[in-house]
Amino acid sequence: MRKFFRDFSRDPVALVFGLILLGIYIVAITAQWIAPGDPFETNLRNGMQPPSWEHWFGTDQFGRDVLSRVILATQVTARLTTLAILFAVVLGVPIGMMVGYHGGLADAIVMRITDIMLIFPMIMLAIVIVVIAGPSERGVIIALGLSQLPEMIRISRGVTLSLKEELYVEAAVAAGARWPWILRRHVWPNISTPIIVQATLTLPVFVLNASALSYLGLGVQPPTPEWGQMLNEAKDFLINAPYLIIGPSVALFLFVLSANLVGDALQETLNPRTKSRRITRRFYRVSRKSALS
Amino acid sequence: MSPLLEVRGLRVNFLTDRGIARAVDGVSFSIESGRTLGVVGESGCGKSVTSRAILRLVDPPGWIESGEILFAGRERREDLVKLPANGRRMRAIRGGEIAMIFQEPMTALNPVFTIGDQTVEALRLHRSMPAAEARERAVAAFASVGIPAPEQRFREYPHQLSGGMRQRAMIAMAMICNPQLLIADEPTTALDVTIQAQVLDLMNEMRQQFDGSILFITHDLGVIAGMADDVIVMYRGKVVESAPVRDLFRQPRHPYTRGLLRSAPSLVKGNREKLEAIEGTVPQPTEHIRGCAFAPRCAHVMPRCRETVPALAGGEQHRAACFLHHDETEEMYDAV
Repeated sequence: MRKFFRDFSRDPVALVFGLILLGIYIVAITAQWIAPGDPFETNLRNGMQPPSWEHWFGTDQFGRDVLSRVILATQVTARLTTLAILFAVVLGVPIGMMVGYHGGLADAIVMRITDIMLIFPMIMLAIVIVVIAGPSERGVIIALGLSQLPEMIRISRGVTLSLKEELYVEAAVAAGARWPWILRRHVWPNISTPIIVQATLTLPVFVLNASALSYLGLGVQPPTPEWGQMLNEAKDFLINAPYLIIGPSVALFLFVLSANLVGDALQETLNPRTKSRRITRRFYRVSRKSALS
Repeated sequence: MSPLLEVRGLRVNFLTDRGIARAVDGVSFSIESGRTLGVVGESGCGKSVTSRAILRLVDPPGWIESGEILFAGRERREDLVKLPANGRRMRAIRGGEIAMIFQEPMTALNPVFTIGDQTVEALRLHRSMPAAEARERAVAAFASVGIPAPEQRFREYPHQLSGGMRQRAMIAMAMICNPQLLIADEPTTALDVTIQAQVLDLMNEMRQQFDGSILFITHDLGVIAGMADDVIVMYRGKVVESAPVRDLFRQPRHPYTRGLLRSAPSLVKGNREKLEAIEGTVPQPTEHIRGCAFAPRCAHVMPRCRETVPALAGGEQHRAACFLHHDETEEMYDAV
């Protein structure tokens, strides 16, 4: 663990953006207390004000303080994406471990289903699910979670398959252990690392897609603030009040960039095979993901 | 008194790309309580598969085709083949009444848990007891297998222990539930010779203590001579000779057993003659051979060896599956 922190902090980029990511989560948790104003309080006479000392990011068409709304949106986004990742992990890892361990027909069926799910672009899959589940926060969580489910199943299944051949697993069976015990004791500890890495790498994608869905009106519904949805509202006033897009864009940009860089650094630290620091690949990954939405 | 374990006509098959491989082809033997049965044979002769079949650990693509495995457990004598492979009773037998020690102590221990943890795990699978008591029993088990400073070793990880210590820990784990039968699958093959002797001594000692039996699998005849009371020799999934250990070494009957004995180095003769190897190689398990499976490599092969399979015959204790040792009556029996 100490070695992990040393490796991690040796990479200044990862360290800086790790702290930024940490800061974003602190903002998310304490949103209610640190917001300078009420994010829901309308004041039509003060609508669409440019940035000032009173309103750092200006006010929107209803006179609501954009900074306060951005801060509350941080909380909404952090909650959404975390729950979506939990959803994928809690559902996907047990399925992956079970089909990997038992094999046979169930394995074949589950893997073909994940193959089918992987064919569709994530955002398209998410849109379909949101349309079925209804546009709401819960719909976004289910949509994002399900879209990441195949990946979680594949990772945990792969690790389980290789561990099944280990002699200590056979020894545990010979000592009278049942399969749930073996999965919990001998397989899960080996799966947690790749799952953590995958979850961190998924985070920025989820953030972008949650915003994209909300931008399209399929996600978080007003008046609850969400970056994508705020951008959607701001785009109508792009000529008269271009400053309205600054707040949500900067927040979105920072969150996605830092989550990406931290995810990559985690992968490189936790996975001994990719120890080399490849800055170019990082930027490639960031730009590719951004292009997705 | 019925034997502790009696295997009758056990057949285990594996489905391979080249057809069905008969890994174990009609094997019968029995182990009396308190005795050690040695199983000798080359790699791939079916000795490991036999041991796994006893614990019902044969996984697809393999399956137990037929046969009986009669085990006189704590409560009653039952046929393990008829039990569901992963049912409650079978799991209670595994580790609880029949324990297994594996060949490689390096990989049979999970590297991410301390050996103490893993020993307690073996105990907790079969006995419900408070954690403190389980820990105490585990430390006591370490002490009994001669692990120095057991309290301290308890907290160590497998990579911190030497091969011999790891095998001792494995033995402690296997013995902790006082099994009646211990299956040892080449337990000393991966160890230095000096450590080998220590581990073998330990196993003998443990057997006397817990008054159980050992099924000892090896390809090392020297180890068999020191450990076993009775021996079966396996060749290509069949038992070719079965005898008390003295008889086997003094008067080996089957040409394969003789070949094995001749191909082991000996100091007794006092000279350094060239070791004899058995001609040829073991046929593929998927190949169908008419008659005796050893016939293609046998120096004493007779025409009828290529026609019929010789049965295991020749007296109460020492029996061989070879026509060289069949008398007339048995021959007639075979013809039926």
